Amino acid sequence: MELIESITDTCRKEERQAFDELVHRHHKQAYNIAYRMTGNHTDAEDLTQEAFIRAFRFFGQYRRELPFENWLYRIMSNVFVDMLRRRPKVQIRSFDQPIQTEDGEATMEIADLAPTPEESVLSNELDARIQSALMTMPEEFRLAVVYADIEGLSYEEIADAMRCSIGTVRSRLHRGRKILRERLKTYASG
Amino acid sequence: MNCHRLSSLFSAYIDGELTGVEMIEIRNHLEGCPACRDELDNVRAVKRLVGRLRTAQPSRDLSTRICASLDGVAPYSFLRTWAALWQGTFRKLSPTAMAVSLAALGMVVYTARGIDEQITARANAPIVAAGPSLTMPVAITFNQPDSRNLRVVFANRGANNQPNRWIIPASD
Repeated sequence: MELIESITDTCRKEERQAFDELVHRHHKQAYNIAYRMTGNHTDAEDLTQEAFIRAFRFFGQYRRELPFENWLYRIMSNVFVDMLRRRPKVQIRSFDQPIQTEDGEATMEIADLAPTPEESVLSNELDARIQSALMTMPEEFRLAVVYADIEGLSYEEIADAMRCSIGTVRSRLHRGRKILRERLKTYASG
Repeated sequence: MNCHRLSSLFSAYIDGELTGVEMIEIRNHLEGCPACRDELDNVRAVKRLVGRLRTAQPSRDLSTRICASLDGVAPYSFLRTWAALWQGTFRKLSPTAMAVSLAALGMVVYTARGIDEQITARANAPIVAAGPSLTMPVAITFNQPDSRNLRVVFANRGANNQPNRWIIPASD
């Protein structure tokens, strides 16, 4: 019995060591994606951490012949959706959708984002504007755009990460980029 | 295809995710349509803008914090799931429900009795016919609907271009 426990213990330690190495190797890339999804540093770190914890919990189900980051993206997409559900206050509303106020219906406009000290790393005005435009999109469009244009995933990989069909990816990207083009007219004309 | 329908494909076009036929169709249309060329340039510019976003950097100690947070996390295992199920469900069952569940399980075992012996007996039966070379079986069926002889069909084909097969007679 002791022998079995000792073998199990060794296996567990080796698996943990392998996973720690994956964390060190992929956490920056994962954080970058998380940042583009959530739009702020705190949520991005929470999302990254939660995604790795969930990945570790189900590490036994990871098929080693596939790239780890693709599997992680799938988990990140799920964690992100869960995060939005848990905190409806951060749910993104379409800019085209009018909001009800005491004085009647009103429409939203993109804030002129000045970089804050916390965002010093992303202080470039253009970066802030692009990120701001990304945040105005429904999250499923945003995820598709981030995976395609920042991570350079193929439609098949995006479909796998978002658990939808390739046709849905195609349509989300088309509509997402259309929204971005409207928001970034000044920068994206030709 | 009209401009509206084509413009919905521009994203996939610049990502190289269209079929050859669609690509050619778009290329031909673009040659004679300056409005669509402008539209395509705009989509391309958006993709370029998003792609040039700088890489956001996490806190220096993020990976260390993540690894530390894993200390209290137990990897998922079937045994643990069953243990949780046992604690969460079965222990809360009333004695009657438990008796009904056990009776149902008993019936399944009783119905399936002897199946493994039958399978072993048939598999050990002498082989009466074999093809010239064998690969993995693709189908194992009864030879005729009312027969107890097994027919094993293989992926490769014989001289008459028919799939190779074995007939294994019933042992009794």
